[in-house]
Amino acid sequence: MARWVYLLTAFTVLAAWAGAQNPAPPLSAEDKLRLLRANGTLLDNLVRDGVALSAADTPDRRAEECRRSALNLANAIGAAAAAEDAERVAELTGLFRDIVRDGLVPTINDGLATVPPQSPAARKLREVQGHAADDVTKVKAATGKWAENPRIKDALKQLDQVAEGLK
Amino acid sequence: MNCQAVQNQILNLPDPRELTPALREHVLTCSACQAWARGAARLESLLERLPIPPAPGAKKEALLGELMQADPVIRPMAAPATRPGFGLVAVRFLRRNASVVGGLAAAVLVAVGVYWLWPRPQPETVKTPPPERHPLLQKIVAGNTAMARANTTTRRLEILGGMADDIATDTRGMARIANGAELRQMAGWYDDVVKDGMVKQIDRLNDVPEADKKKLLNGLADKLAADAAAADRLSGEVPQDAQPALQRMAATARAGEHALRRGK
Repeated sequence: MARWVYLLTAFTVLAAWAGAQNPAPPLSAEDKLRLLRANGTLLDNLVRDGVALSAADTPDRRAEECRRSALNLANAIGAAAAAEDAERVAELTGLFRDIVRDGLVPTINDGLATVPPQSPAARKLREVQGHAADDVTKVKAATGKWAENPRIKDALKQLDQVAEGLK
Repeated sequence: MNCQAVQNQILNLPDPRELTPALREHVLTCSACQAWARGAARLESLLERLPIPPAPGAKKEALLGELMQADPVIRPMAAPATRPGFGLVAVRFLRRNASVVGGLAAAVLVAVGVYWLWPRPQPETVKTPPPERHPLLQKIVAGNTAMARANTTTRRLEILGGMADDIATDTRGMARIANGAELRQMAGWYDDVVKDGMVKQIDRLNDVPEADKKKLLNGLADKLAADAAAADRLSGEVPQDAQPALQRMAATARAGEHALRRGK
């Protein structure tokens, strides 16, 4: 009897899980090519930033290179906003939030916790922190027009929390 | 008519003092029946003179009360012995037929699941298109984010290896439709990641134990070798315009593979 109960429970859970799956269809090669053309210059910069980041062996240099990636994204957001491309603004704003929240802010905070407070490295870290806060302000200004777009609204809300971490 | 029958008929009369003609004819000729008829007439007269006793005072009310009470006048007979309840019968049935009932329930669930998952025409609604994300851009940003937090050379090499793999895969996927300039741009990214990223990290692995270092570098070299082979193979199948970029990628992958295997 217990075997049937387990079997039915497992089946029900499996059916519920299968029903909940709604993966986004993969992009076709044509779609990828179209996006490559749109993001080619940005990718040029980000790949170079990534390689430079791999060579940065101090907290202040890592923060500086990471902020460069964030700045490249912020500039791309400004360009997309000027082109009235809300979809692209939404995607790039989400990526900007990710790199600032998960890469830049922890790098700055960890660096400030490990370098001497009056050292050049600490000064550099605080400088990067200030620039990053300006970048966030710039992105919020550029995307304000689409503040009611659900995806942008969500990203901006999280950016407000990120900005708190940069003060 | 004999005397016995005549006397019985006299007793059956509503009033024995008034005889029917047939009975009177016999009585006039029969002294015994005449005496019987006279006795019956006398008895009737005496009965009429008897006083009627009054009915008991509460008897009428008691009888009416009995007829008007809530309980039915006709009472049910004793109930037969009770039978087992439905629940008990159901449990006994399930125990006896557990396999059949379980299989039936599973079949019903399968049918419900198929019905649930079966595609059906949706009502005409305006759907918001799903957000269009560029997978390569997402991966490169994720790589840079992880790189900012990477504290060891081993971790950095792993991230760079992942980035090289992503770029190589995307380049091969578009080799048949992208133009030569676009493919050269992608091959340039691959160059940057392999030559300026991965190969330059090798010298920083001094603090890693030799066995771990060899294992890490050989693993990455294997991936580059696979990239080189795939790019070589594809360069023979794509339009002429696309071939130089793929050949460049293959050369970069092979040079990176050799550097990683040498460990310098």
